[in-house]
Amino acid sequence: MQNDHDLIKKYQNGEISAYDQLVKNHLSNTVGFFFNITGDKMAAEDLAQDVFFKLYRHLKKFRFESAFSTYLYRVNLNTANSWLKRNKWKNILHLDQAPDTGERDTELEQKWTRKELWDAVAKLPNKQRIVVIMRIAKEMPYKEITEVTGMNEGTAKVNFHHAVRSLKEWLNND
Amino acid sequence: MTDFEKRLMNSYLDGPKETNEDDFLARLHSRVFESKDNRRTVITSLCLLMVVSLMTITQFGAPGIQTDYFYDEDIETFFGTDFWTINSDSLDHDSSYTYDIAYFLLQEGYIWDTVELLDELELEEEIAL
Repeated sequence: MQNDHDLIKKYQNGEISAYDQLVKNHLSNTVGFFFNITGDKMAAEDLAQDVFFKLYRHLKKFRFESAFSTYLYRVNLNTANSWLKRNKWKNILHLDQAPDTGERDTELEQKWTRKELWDAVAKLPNKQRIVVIMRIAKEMPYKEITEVTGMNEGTAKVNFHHAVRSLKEWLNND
Repeated sequence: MTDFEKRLMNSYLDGPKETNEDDFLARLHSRVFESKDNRRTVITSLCLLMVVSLMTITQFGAPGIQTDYFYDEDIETFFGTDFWTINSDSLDHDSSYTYDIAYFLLQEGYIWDTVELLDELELEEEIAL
């Protein structure tokens, strides 16, 4: 399998099939990331479409200064962040009247649904939200979070700690 | 890691395994094509708008259409233009000019007018003889 940078170079030279291959290599990961947040396959695929559509335009200017996966995480993160913010407003304005499809995890006796969790995440301040998304939806270690977000490890840990405290308060009060 | 954090971390789901790659790519390419198409439309519209604006701006301060042109007292200025010359007279028009008019009338569907014109032309030729 060709590595990402080779595929991007080919794409920059006008080979569209190289881009297709790049999408195929990262599709399941990207859809999986969004599926963790939305809990809905269709919504996850739509968000993945947004990501690869953005990349189609911006990869022509990719400067190979970082790994493609880091770049992709960053785009995923921004897209997820926008989606959560958008969703927060939808909830406030009661535009989203779809039934809650999130299932309660009886095994872990969780008291909240996936939707409730991500609605609460949407209420977090920006930095805390980013760290939580990376930790929960991607199971990313702090070291990688620092690479993707640019914040140092201590800051990431503190933000996660504050986020968890807020989430605990909001979710257990519901 | 607290119990709550563990619960949070355990809420990780494995993504759907069966994303149809070909279908996904087809949708992506159609979206890209659509976006390019929209971009072209916007650029064309902007160009047209610019041309129209430019044409409008260049007309600022230009004299208005003189509707009373033919009532100008100084008829020399009228006859002195390219539009009309004093030497121009219907008698000077050759037969090809008349045939052109006949052809035009025929195209416009004035069949009887055309016949009349051609008859008149023939009559004029006979008179001239």
